[in-house]
Amino acid sequence: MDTLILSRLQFAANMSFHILFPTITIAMCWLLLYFRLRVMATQQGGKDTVTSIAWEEAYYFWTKVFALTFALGVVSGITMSFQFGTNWPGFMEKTGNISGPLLGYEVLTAFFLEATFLGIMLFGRTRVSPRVHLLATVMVALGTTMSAFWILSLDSWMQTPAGYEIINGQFFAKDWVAVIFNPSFPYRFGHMLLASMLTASFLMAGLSAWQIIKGTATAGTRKALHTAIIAASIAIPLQILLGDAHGLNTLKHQPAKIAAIEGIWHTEKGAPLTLFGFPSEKEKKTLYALEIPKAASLILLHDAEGEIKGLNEFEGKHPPVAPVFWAFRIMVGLGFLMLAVSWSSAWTLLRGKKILSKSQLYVLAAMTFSGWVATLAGWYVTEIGRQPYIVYGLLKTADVVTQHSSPMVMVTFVTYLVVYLLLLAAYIGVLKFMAEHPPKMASAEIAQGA
Amino acid sequence: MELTWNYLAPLIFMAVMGLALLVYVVLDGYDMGVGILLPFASDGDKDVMISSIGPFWDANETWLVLGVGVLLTAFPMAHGVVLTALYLPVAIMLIGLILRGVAFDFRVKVHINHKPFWNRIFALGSYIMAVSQGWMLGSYITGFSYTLWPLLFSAGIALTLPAAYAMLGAGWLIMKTSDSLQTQAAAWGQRVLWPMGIALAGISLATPMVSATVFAKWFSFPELFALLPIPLVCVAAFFAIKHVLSNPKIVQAG
Repeated sequence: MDTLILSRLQFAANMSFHILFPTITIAMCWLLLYFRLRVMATQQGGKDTVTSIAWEEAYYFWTKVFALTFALGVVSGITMSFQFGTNWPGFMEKTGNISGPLLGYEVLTAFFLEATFLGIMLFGRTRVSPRVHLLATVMVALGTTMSAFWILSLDSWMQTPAGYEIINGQFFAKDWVAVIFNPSFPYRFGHMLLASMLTASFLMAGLSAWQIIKGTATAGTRKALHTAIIAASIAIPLQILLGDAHGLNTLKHQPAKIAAIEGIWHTEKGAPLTLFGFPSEKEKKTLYALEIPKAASLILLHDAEGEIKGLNEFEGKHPPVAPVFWAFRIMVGLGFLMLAVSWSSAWTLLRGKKILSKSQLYVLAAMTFSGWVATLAGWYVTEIGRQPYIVYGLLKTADVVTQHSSPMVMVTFVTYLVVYLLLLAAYIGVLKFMAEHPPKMASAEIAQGA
Repeated sequence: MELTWNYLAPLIFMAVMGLALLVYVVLDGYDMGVGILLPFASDGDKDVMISSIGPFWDANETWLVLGVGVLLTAFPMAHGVVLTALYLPVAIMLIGLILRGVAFDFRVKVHINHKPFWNRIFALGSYIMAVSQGWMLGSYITGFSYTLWPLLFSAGIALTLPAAYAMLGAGWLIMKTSDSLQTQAAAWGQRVLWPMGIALAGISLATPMVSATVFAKWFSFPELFALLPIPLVCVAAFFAIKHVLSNPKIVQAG
């Protein structure tokens, strides 16, 4: 394998490993803030009630999960900031004037906000006043969200570049507002925040369901379970609508990506929607395709006879079809599964029957990490779908890769991979262990209620 | 020379980066030092040692991110060049950083039987980071030259830096803990004092030999007089540490 493919694999491994954790923490922090507010709202005259202690328990348990997740996100994130330089020196050299400041803002504003206030959030519960502690929680939530804002702005700029000029092969910012709020940014940012909310709530619901199944649930477990189910049921329809809008935006700016997603090989009017099939680049068609006539044109153009450009128009400029095609179907399939599961669970809860059945609990437990799979699939669609470009239409990935020998990159790639797989196994193992042996809240902390 | 923005901006960012790295080495240095000393402590003391750095390590590591962030933002070209040249040591350091960072959290959340394993991972990560940082410093000073003497020089720094961090860690523990652990920390400090001193002196002498730039800066007049206080203060600091560590009363005062 050559350095390019190895560098891409290594970067993909790093990215995939990293995104697992922010995807949880970005939204979980807001859920923790909600728990915090519920604690305060259910106290009476500053004294704890049965309900407020339950919320406190939920907060306590999920703060521990949050801390562990955050740590994994931080260390893998630091790794990322180095890898731009170690593996893609050409990227920094050519787009540094734009990507540098955007990454810089991410690091300076968000990182400092998060890392500093997280200390207060995790260790200051009994040392600072409830008000200051609440403020720290808000700051951490803002920090993680701002972190996402900047990094998604850069990623979107690489997909739909705007506000730049190129002088001697180097990118310069002409209009920063246009750079930051480039055409695909609002869609991608919203899509990612909702993905995070879904990932966090399915994790919370799944792990809580597992606690109930295993008989290790506390009063806080049900609070967390219900909150998560409601949050997921609100987020999922929004996500499906926003995903559709994102798709239309992609059609406008990156038609080759859409052609790969839909498996449309030749430009056609009234293009069918391929539900399943096996894309073959060699034969330039999708084998054993299961199609709905005219549906792709209808969905993408709101016109059954609309013309969609096929891959034939982008010879040598379109991404590999199969991974994009498949990843998209996994993402969408999981999205609809999430809709079914969260709405049916919410229905049970809201109808007055406060108890989920055993089978509902097992389904939720099975879907604990479904958000991860959907999020990764979505990222693969968008990032593989950008290939062969690193900055869409302007700069090819192959032109910015490092000059290192491939054995060297192979060594680091395998090392990273082994470490990541071990840590992933450890993370999941520890979550299971924590769910089955919920950490006891010190009675002093319950009494303090803060 | 006219003071224009184009002239000043790189200097300002260089200063910020220098400051970030200095603060990083001191702050993350003490918590890496605690990790380096960890294997020599009893199980009970291990908990105290790690909880003493618990609230701080994350913020400390942020300084490294700031340093790289400024390098990325202000000197994107240098970011590419430096990190390409340091490909392997950076990758190794990052592995250490990952192991260390996660061990912090894992060790208190896993089954009690697995705790010693994560303690070892924490210490291992600290060693890997310290050694690889030393190696990077060495290769940076020698301008990424891969011949015998520069390589030996880098190896020298790689082996010294852990001693220096261990000293910082011992100082931190003396400040933050009490009783037997504090006494133990003072003993650790005394043990790493001479290796650290000899190595630092050796490297200070070797630096002008392997780096022509540094040689030119140090051994010309009148710069020599302006720079002379630096080694003198270092020597004074060395003997001050020696005095303090061998005096139990001062140690107990924290």
